[in-house]
Amino acid sequence: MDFSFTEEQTMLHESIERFVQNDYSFDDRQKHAGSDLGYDAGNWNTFAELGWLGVPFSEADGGFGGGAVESSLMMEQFGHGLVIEPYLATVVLAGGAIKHGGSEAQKAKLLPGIIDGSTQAALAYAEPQARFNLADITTTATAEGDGYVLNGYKAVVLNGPAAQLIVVSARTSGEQRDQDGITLFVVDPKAAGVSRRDYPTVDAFRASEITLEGVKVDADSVIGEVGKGYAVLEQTIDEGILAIGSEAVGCMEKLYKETVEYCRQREQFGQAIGKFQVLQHRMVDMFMEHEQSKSLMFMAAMRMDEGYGPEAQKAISAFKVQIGKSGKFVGQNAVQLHGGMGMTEELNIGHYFKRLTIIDTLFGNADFHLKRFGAL
Amino acid sequence: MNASDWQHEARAFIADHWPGPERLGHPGAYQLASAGWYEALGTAGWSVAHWPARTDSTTGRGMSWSRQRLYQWQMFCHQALTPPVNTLAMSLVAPLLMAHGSEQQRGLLLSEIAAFDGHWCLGLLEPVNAATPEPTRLRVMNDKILLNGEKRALADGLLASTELPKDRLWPARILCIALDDAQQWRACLLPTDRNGIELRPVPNAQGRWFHVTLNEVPVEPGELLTLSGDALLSALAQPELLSESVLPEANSLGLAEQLRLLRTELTTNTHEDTDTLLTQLYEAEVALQSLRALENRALAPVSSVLSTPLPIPALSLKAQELGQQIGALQLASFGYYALPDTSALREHNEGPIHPRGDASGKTAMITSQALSALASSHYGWNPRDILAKQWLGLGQTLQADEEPSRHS
Repeated sequence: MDFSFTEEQTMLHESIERFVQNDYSFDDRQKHAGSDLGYDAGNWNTFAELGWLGVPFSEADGGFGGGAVESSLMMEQFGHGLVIEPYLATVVLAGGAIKHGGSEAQKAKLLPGIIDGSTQAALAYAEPQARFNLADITTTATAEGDGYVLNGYKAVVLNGPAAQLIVVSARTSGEQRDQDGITLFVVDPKAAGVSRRDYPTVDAFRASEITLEGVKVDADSVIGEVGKGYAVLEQTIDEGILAIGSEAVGCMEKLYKETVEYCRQREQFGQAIGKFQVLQHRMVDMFMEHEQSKSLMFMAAMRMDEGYGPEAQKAISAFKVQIGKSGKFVGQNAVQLHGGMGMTEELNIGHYFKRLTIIDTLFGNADFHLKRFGAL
Repeated sequence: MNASDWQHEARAFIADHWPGPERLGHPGAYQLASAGWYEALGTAGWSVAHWPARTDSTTGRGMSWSRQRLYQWQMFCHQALTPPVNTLAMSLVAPLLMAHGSEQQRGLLLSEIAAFDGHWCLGLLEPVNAATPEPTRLRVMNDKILLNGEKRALADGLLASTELPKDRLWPARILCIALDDAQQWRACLLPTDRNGIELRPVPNAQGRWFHVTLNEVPVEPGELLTLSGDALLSALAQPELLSESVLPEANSLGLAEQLRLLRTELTTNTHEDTDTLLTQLYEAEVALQSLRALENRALAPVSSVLSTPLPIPALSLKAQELGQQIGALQLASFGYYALPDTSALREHNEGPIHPRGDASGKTAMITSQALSALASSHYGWNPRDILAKQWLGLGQTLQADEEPSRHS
């Protein structure tokens, strides 16, 4: 593992760190999370102006040319600030699927809007019956004329309410859980036959249930090869795991540091509660969970940058297992050590805990990834 | 020399000077081979490859290897199951002397440590069943400094055993902590053959401990460190803060070998609990990945991205926890065959009991060692206390616990 960061990586890290520290207060975040849009359009434009929306895309596609390490450094800082803007859904998931599977023409057509901030996007991959199995797809795409007709139901589509472009996984052949026979399509959410039910998630993001009834798309909407969409989906989701895991690392750092600070100041029985050994040990364990997660974050990011394959997948699953376990421990103990304060809406602690809890579930929880790790 | 050539040379050095545990059935043979190993290290200068390459008369022999190269060197040694290269003298006494020793102390002791001419033990903890409730005292009486008390001293892993004679590997020196008349903690650097010092090995799982009786031991002023009080205790708790040459221990490799053997055992001898045990094995394997990542991170240079170094006690804590996790899993996987004390059989030159194959035999041997009561000791400090006080800023004074078993 090489920890010598490039000048570009260092600058990227520092610029996001400055933004989160100086321009992204918790109160503003809460205000934007409660708005109609669910995030701040001004912040999104700032992300675009600073080039952050182009970080994972190649320079040929108009991006920054960054890899997994850059993505991790960025998301870790987003985790510190509990950033609510839909970077994961638009850039990492939808953008990632187009990046990995799209033709040159599709990339030229779709990525500039994502990079300049004018396009919000989403990846509709989950279905109600599938739990965490990416291949469990009942939504169908039937060839008709020069295009396809989509029918089915996609669950918990992150950023669905704001998306102007949705990448949908559908079955063009094979059985319900076959990895072969899955195809990815670009769908316009305003197209005839697409209906949405929007809702907030418990961590203050937005999502939708999407029904597809006789939705017609042309052949140019197919991302990658027909029937070969699973590989693209798997790699994209693994990048998503690295992104949310890195975000969780940032959340955990914030939680353990604020807890330590609180315990140094809060007095009980005539002394700061941080002087009690039993609480000290608990905070050390929080610190340890964060450090382990952060170290695995770098390991996973570096494996991904070395090339996507079984080794990288194994590292990603190990990271996700750690994140699930550590996030739960750090979140629960931060709430516990803050006493009743930890449960209040006004204090940020509970909000970080909610985000960590959701991150464990997203893209497969710790149990799911432990099995995947063992099978790889 | 490029990295590849260096790796080849390092592996060749180990192959030339360490016969490997398979050929060392009895602890006596191990002891003899250990002495040869340390002599070879000292002669080649690889004993102090991590020391600064200064040329003054007091240290003078270092090679200033990079931290990554040193870590690799440790991993190769772990892989070959050599006696520890990161001995107590190397990782604790030498950094203390480099930072706070007098010129005379450095001149005498550092060259001795570099040559592995004298092994050390650490007299920090005191037994709960000591003859008096008083801590070990350093008193001035009639212009003489005298040391009195009892210690439970820690030596390097395999250097001490209840069945071994006083040979070259017997601790020749002790770093002993005592309270002086001003109620300040002081450190004495003494030869163990000094009048009034008696060392007796304490029978336990690994034989790393000695009961030390200090009876009117005369101490010369030049045998005291100038560093004293809380600063001394802090330095002892975290020697890595004294010198960049103190490295994280490459524990992950040994633990990886245990897990490899365990996986073989579990997949070869299947039964109704296999699935449950395999799930626990995967959890331990993820924890191993985590330890490896931590070890690598501990070697990372400080930068604006990683603005603070990873404290070495964090690695100790993780390695201890993983060791315990693996130990529990080994016990669970063996069922009744967890009962035989295979290391005792080995000491009496008897063959191991491994009706289920060679992997079972090796794993059982390691399990036996994993049951050591020392599993969670970091030179007698609880790593959680060090991390809480030194790294999280939760309190000022670090107190040593009284008895190693309390940390377990």
